[in-house]
Amino acid sequence: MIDETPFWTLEEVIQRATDPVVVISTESVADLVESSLSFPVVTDFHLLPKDVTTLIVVGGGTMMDAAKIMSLNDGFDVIAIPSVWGSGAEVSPISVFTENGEKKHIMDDRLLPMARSSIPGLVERLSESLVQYGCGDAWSHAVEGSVSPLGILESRATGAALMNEMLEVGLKRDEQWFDFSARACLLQASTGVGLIHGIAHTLEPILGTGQSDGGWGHARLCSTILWPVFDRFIRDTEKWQSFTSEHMVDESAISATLHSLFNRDDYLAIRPHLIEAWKLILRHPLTRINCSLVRSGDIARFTEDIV
Amino acid sequence: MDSKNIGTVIFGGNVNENPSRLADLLMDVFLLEPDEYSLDLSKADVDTWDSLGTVAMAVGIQEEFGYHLSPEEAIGIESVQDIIHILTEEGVEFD
Repeated sequence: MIDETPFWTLEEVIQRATDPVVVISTESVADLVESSLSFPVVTDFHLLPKDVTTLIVVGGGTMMDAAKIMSLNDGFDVIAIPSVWGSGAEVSPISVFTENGEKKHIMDDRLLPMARSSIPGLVERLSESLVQYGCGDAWSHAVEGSVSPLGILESRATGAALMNEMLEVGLKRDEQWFDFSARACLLQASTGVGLIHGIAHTLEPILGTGQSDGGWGHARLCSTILWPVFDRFIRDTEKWQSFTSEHMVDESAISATLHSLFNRDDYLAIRPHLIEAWKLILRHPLTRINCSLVRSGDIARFTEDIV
Repeated sequence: MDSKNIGTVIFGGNVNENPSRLADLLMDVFLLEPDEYSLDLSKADVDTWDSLGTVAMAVGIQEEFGYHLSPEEAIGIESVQDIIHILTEEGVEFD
């Protein structure tokens, strides 16, 4: 398991962040951030002053990753406050970015934020669709991380415990999802993910990565692909069957949950792109560590109707 | 598919499908075209036979032949012949 980013309360952030401190916030919640933190707030990386020692970043995975990558060059500390759950960027030593139309990632221990925190009220700002996409992203990490061929007994037990908690809370607007998401991300960072992420990372540059509800961001793509991949590539495997029985995970409850996240219209919208990009998807490193071998002929599993 | 290239064996009136099953599997694992595969293939010939390829190969061999390669075995495999040797020891016929 990788080191865990400590959680600081907002009071601890205010007391312990080393001056000069600046906050960069996604615009939609900047008013809430300004009323919660006593530091200068900007909403654009170009507006950051040069002499920042601590950057508090309040935003989604893309913004947190951008701040983490900048910190490698500029040397400031990062305190991450996710405005939406799903990516787990606040606890991950990995940053994802797009270069020349290709999704790439850097893994470096220095990318691990100094701390993570939360701001009361952020969860109320999330739209229903972002709640769904975030839950889908976290479930994708939990499922793929739990049955990764690179996993060990300990990681599978961690995944099972997490899934049971996620099932108990259900797919709804709840602060606990920030914690579930962080733990799911830690799990997948220590084991690996698979085809869901291979597809999402391949299609993101093709479809664009808008962060609004209407864009095809990472979380929405993972949510869209989660059920088809689970249904066609995971749940019938010996690996999944032995995982659910050995760790007392309610398989039917998980199936029902993942199915309820499925948006058929979204799936039908991306399916032509998935079929066209299949060779690229097969070559993606994450596809190649899927829990079951993804074969060239498996594209047929997506061309059949999925309900 | 070129059966001569992948080594499908016909004996005693029965077709031994294992060579072609292995060929199909390894072409998918290492993302090879049929004319890039042969029984003489070694790790050094295949740029996708990297650490990810080794993981995919272990997963694929378990699915296709029911044999779980240990991490040491998977890492130690250097050629198609090594795979055939291991599977033969486990009772999978290639002759």
